[in-house]
Amino acid sequence: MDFFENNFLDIKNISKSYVSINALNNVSLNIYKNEIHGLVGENGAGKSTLIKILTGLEIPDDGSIIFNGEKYQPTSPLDAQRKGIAFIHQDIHLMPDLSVAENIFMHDLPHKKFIGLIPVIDRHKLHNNAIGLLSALDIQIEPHILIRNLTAPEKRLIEIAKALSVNAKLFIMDEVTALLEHKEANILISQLEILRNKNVPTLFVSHKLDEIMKISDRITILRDGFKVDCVEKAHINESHLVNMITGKTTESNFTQPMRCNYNKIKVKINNLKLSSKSVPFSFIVRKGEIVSVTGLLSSYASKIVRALVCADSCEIESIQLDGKPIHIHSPQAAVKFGIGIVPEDRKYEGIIPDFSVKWNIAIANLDKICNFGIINRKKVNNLASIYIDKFRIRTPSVDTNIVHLSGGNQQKVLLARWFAKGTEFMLLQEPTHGIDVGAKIEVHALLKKFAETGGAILFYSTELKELCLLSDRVMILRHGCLVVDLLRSECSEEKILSRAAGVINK
Amino acid sequence: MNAFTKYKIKSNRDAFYVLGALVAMFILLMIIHPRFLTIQNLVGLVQQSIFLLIISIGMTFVIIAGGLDLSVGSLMALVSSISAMTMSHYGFLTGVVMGLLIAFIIGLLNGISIVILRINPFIATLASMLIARGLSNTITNARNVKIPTQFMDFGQNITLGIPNLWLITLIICLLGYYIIHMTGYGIKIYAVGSNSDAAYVSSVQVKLVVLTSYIFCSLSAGVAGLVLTFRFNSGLPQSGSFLELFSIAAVVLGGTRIGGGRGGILRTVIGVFLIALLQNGLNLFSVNYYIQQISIGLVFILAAGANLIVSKNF
Repeated sequence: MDFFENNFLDIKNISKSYVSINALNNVSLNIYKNEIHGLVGENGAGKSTLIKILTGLEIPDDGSIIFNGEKYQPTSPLDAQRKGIAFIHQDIHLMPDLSVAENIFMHDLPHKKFIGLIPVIDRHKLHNNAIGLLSALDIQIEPHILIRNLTAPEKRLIEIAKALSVNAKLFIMDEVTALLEHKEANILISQLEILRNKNVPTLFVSHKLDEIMKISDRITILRDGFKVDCVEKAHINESHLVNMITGKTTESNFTQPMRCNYNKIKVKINNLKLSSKSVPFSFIVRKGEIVSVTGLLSSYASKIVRALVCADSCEIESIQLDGKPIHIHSPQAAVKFGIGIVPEDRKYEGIIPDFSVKWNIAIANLDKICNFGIINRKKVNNLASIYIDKFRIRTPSVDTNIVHLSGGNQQKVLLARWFAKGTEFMLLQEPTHGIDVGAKIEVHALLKKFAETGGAILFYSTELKELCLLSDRVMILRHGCLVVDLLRSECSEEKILSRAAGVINK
Repeated sequence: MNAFTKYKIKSNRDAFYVLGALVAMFILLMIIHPRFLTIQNLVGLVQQSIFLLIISIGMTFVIIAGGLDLSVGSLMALVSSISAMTMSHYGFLTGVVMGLLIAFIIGLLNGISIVILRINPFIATLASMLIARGLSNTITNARNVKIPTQFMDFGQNITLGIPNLWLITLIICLLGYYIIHMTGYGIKIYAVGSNSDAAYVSSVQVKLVVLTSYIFCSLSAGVAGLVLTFRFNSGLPQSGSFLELFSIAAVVLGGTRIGGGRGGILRTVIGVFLIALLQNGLNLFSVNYYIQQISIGLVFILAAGANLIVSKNF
């Protein structure tokens, strides 16, 4: 089979260590010319380091890479791109003040000659190129719009378009579908399949195992910086894959019976209007209840958290907390009313990057750590230690800078911040976005425990499995209107998806 | 296309407000002071603001790229002194080249300390501001340097109906507009100021873009220094104090964002003339210089506050 002879990218015995951690140990990986290669592993397994090496952001300590028959050691992203590698990183990397078209074609801006002499940007051509590309990919976003005016999933689509606009020999995609709906993810997947058939391979990293199983021809599994195995898709199933990723056989603690002792209404939202054209709707969240909101990209469901905490963004007739009407005009005001917020963009809106773990927890709890307005350092350490133990936050010490923690542990720190404060109502956006399987289970367990002790939770998510497992009720939106409010017993992944897409099948 | 028009208006609306403020101020001065709308006054107004205008064009580059340059005022004085001194010994062209060369070197030093040594732009350019000021006072003993009489005509001559120095200012403005708004390099300046990490992975040579933005800024300060020399027919080692601050103020007043990513040359031109009109108005009413400083400071606060309110609402 000539399939095996096309060792297009050959990574041999790569090692990389940071100050005290061995991020990669003797990892080898090869990619054939006509395949989509899945790469899986928990956070901290070394996937990101491997990708950083391939895209020129890090230089390996040891080992060699052969790409397309030549030795490959990129010194910068620009260098990697010149050598034919196109990539999309886990975090969105776009210039918010530039237009969609400018962002897509930044690497190759079309020029023309002004009065046949002076080189100037050809904005007309730039615009047309962008329209051509976006419509070919079935992405309905106007190329003149500034990136700052787009939602997170729309930004992701633009990144995908940008990567596909390059005539690359190899694509590297790190967690690109995390923000996307099925429909959009399918656009991407079909594009990658077309590329594969043209002998342009992809290295595809994802936490969504079903997706990895669907798309990849072979899958490489990393754990704690070591390569566990490289398997062909045909020889493996999803649960086997989970075992290889976590290194242990998973108990089915993913599904456990839910409590249902709701009696008191915690929050009541009257006539929320998510877009100018949509019909307003009202809903309640009871004490001890976990309610989720979902919908396709066009449903405005992702706006819900922002809508509740920022009065300017949407029209709400009134919000009642514990029966009393309140007016929330900013996230700060929401916090004052005892509402905990975990935003979607953990890196920019959640954690405070230069702060240690303990201060990230303590920052919202100054009243608990001060004696007469003076900070008591012992109390800070105690507070942090309690929650690090309780939530099993994996950190070298309370003084570690939070950016050194994995995404899952950062998310747990954020939850600790609010739980320490005694929050009774939590608003979350994509609570386990970009978090590995193990941490996901832990975060879910923490949220369930919070609800068991009388807390109310409202979260937005696009992950079907999460919606089914975590919520007591799922509200599905379409075009800003509430379509259906499903009870836990009525939920299934297929049902949520079909209702969100507007296909009614009983 | 509906979505497009909506966003377009959104992003440029504040520019109209600044332009509106400029027009309103012009009309107000026209009504309340009879001597405002005279050729003599308007010529004087432009004459006084060309230095600020030239420097602010360069400052716009640096600020859109996300930086700041405090050295421009001192650099203008240094270039003015050096060009005047060189001119009296080695001739016209050598003087001009020497002035621009020193500006280039200071810009390169600023860029290197910021991009390669990773010194904060505020600190790095504060240092070169002191160095440039000290140098210009040392080489001239803090005294003005007259240029040879045969070169004195250049600054007063008129080409194509426009005074030479005004023509230079116009060329600098057009050049600035061309680079910022019509070239790929210009878009890259916005990209770096908007999100330098994203620009880096979009294959923009971030370091090179930042470095050159400081060189452009220093070169514009150099041109301002030359224009200053020809305007007063002497090198003025003590000129240009506070000019860097007025220049930053003009750029920001026009609506270019401190921190980078948003703004433009036309906005800067509007900002410069806003300050010029304000000063001119206060001069016409013979307001004491110190009171002028207070009033201009207050206007900045007002303008920044208004800008915030406008940008929040749209």
